[in-house]
Amino acid sequence: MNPALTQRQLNLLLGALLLLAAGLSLLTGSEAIPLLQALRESLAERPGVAGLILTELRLPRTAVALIAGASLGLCGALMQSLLRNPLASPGLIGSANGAALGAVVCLYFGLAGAAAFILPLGGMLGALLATFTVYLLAGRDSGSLTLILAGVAVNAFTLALVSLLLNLAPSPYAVQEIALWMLGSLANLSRNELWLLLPGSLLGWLLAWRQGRALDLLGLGEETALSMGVDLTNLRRRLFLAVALAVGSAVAVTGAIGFIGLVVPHLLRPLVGHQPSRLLLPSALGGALLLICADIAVRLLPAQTEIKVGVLTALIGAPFFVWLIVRNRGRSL
Amino acid sequence: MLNAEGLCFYRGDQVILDEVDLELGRGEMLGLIGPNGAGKSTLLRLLAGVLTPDAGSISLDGRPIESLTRRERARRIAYLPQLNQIAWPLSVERLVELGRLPHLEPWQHPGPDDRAIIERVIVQTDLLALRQRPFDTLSGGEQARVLLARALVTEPDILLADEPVAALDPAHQLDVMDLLSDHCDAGKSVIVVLHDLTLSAHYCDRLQLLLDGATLAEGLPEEVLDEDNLADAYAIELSEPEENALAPFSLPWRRLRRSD
Amino acid sequence: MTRNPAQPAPITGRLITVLLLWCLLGVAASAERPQRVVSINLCGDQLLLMLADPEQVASVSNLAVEPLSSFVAEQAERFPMNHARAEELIALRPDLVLATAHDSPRLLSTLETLGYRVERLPPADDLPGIVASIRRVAGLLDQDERGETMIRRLRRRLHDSDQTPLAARPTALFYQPRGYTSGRHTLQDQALRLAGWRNLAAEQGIEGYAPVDMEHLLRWQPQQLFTSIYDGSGDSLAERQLLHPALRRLTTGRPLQPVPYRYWICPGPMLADAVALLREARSRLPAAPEPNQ
Repeated sequence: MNPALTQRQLNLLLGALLLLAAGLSLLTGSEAIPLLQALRESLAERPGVAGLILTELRLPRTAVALIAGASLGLCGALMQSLLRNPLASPGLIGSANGAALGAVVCLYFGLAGAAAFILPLGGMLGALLATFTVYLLAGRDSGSLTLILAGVAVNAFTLALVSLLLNLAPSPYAVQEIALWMLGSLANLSRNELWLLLPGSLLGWLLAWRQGRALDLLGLGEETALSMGVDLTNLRRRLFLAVALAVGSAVAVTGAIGFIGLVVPHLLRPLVGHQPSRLLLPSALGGALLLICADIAVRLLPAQTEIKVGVLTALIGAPFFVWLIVRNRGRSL
Repeated sequence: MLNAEGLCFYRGDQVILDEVDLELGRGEMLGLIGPNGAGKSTLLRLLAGVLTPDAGSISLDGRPIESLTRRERARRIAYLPQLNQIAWPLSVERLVELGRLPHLEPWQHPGPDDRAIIERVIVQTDLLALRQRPFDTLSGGEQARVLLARALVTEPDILLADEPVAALDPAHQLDVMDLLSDHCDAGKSVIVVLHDLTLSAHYCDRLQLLLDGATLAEGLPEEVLDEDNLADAYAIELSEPEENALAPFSLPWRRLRRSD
Repeated sequence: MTRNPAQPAPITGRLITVLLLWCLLGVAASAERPQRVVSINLCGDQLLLMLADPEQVASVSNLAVEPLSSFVAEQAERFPMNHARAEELIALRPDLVLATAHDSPRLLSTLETLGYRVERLPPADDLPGIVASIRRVAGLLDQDERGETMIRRLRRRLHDSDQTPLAARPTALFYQPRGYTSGRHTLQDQALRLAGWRNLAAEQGIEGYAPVDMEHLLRWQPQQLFTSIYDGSGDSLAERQLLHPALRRLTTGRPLQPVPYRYWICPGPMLADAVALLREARSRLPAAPEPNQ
């Protein structure tokens, strides 16, 4: 079938939409600021209010949403292609909650105080541990049911541990923060968080670069891929590490934002002819786009305390699941 | 061209292959036959590089196969597994295209030469009308042709096919076997695992009969397919021509060319 | 002994009557003064220990010994501790139970049904309220004098509270973990006003404690930010929010001024100390408030 858009057209379209959304995000906030004035001020030596709001609050927030969203979308596509299963998203297979666990251990028990990078490192280790556990439990090339069950088990366990640790944490504020970790939030991010996010994300993206072909071949079957020169062990190792780095850093900074890694590749797959290598860049762009849009919505909704962005992505994700079920009735997933 | 000596493969305590030798010459079609569980698929997997032998050696053109990089090996040997394990419903064209990847650098896209080869194979495998169809909308026979096309597009020196005609109707069975035969005519070699003894006798230059992980017989089809071998291996008896009067059977022999 | 009815009652008789009356009054007086007072929350604990005689105190709550929240932590260690549980309290045989609106209504109504005297202290978020609280507790404990002394001392310390007109005052804001600020009708607001600050949160119409978005904060441009963190180990997202670089740039490098949390938990004479702290912070401001535009 000829997809309506070519690969290049799709990427350009997503890129353009992303730029537009990023611009809108810079314009969204509880205070109305004139953008041009803010831009001018941000370059000045002592910026005024508008410049401050732009550079210290909105710019970091938008940048984090972009990077974290891209990571989530990309890693969703990577995992689905690697595990040959359209449900293998970072959320479903435990990466996100595992990363939250790692981050919680580091943040609330003083470890992150030693050095700032310990926080994202904890996230990465947690993500790696959880993903690998699901992989071991579910086995290679397992059916969707086994994968989901393994994911449910690991997610439930890590969630319980996160709650437990937050209850035991020294800070009295910790216990109220579980929602932040489980639903994710982009509120009050600063440039510090942006710097924490970048290394792991970039490294993860780098590891995933140029692995599309191997994933295409893997789509033919494990044995075929092996016979066609794919180093399967190396591929798995590399991609697990990539997901751990990217998702781990993202969750350490934003909390576990769900459904982006599941919904975005799913929606885009038909548009790229179902080919794994062609799904990677669009998923990254689409993930960033989705997260920025959700974050804009969160800031526009009137509420005393800002709604967590994960609530909105869940509101998108749940109906999506329903649609999947309805569409696949009769067919096995 | 391809030489295997003393191949052994174990799964835990179980011996799957025990000191199996194999020789494949240029332009030759070798048929691997034997009862279920004889180790035919495993042998093929070892030759394809999907599994590593626990003992023994494989050499290609006199060089040990380990001396080849994965990509070199993938360019020279193509493997068609028994079960279709396609994960994503790509279009036929895209699927077949993937067969060229062993010849391309990671950043390279298929060039005009590659395109020409792909075109030729698509025509050869009679997939022209189906080229834009998603894989999952095809019938079993059509899917088998697509997978074969993917293997042929690699232009391998050696094609390893594991029961490529298992689920096909007689017409398509003959189609596939003809294609494999054409491949051999062009100077390449084929090892094909078959259950259908008539097909194997008809198309293969040589047969190798495996039983319980070891070679029971090897040589020309009429040599291998004698009474004793078949009784030992399959516990079956061939029917004599005279007895056919009581139980007539039809033997698919030649493919009729339909005018499209 | 029998008296001669013809003779008038001697001085002894009158003396005895007066003595008797005096004793009665004395007994009545001591019957009014509670001897087994139990307090089941921090606010009651503090006022109780500050105003009562040690013999009057039967028990204070376990919150009283926490040095981070209690002003009477050392004192409280000498007394039996309760955890505001019904059986505990009954075993103490109190003749007066001090409670507040935050205590479990079920607990209080149970105690009252069983015949115990429960007095609920009203909440107080300004100076008159604090004064009324002190007076009330002093009255309940029959320690009116002590109460008045405390009030006098409090008033004296706050006497030179700032009379600077509003427009000339520097602006400030409390910014606590999770972005909470203190608007009108809070102890923080009262303290800021007495110390000569303008509470921007109150001016913006915020009532009580409410979270404020950081963008609003940047728009309002307070000259000083105060914060009170409860037992801050620093390791939580709520506390990290206070380290946002935007806040630093907002107050042109002047750091968030911490004020111990315990000043805001209960109404009491410690407000004067809080006001002193806030006054001192004001004196450290540069002479003319800088424009931040």
